[in-house]
Amino acid sequence: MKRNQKLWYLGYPAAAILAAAAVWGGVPEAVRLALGVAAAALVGVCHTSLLHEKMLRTDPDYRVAVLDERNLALREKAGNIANAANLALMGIAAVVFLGLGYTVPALVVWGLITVNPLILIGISSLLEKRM
Amino acid sequence: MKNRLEELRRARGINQEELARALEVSRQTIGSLENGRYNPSILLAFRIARYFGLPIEEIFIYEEESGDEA
Repeated sequence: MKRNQKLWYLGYPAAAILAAAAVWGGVPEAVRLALGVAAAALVGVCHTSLLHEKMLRTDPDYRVAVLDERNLALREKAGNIANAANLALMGIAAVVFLGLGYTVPALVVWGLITVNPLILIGISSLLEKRM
Repeated sequence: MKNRLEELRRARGINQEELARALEVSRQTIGSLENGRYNPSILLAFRIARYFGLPIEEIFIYEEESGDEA
């Protein structure tokens, strides 16, 4: 098993620690909720990733569907379009927050929108060195 | 880019599903290749050429677009 696949197994004990901290940590309600959601998300992501890796090894039809070059190109194109749509929706959400008087959430969302091109530039630079 | 994929496949007497399985791609990819909606990567083009035992140029016909000519 590859090293990065083994890392996914670490998600289960990490999620258990988060859940334990949420239940017995004596933390405020908002933090308890956040820890619970984080634990659930971590379990979901790890389990899905391990299942995906297993199916890639054992199910030839799944492997073809995932690794087929046309499907890869389609997913890449769809991801780009979805990213642009998400940015537009986040912009609308920020405007709605402002209209409702929620300044801090609006600023948070605007901050995320501003950071997005920087993330894109950073990842492009990284990929440029590898390809 | 035009290609003779469908002609060669039919001459061999196999369907799209069988060719897709042999090339380890989806049937939809074979369909898109045959009707010219999708151009293969160089790796897939080589695998197709090897499967049919022909040079790539005899399967895929590259034509310069009129706007690209100098």
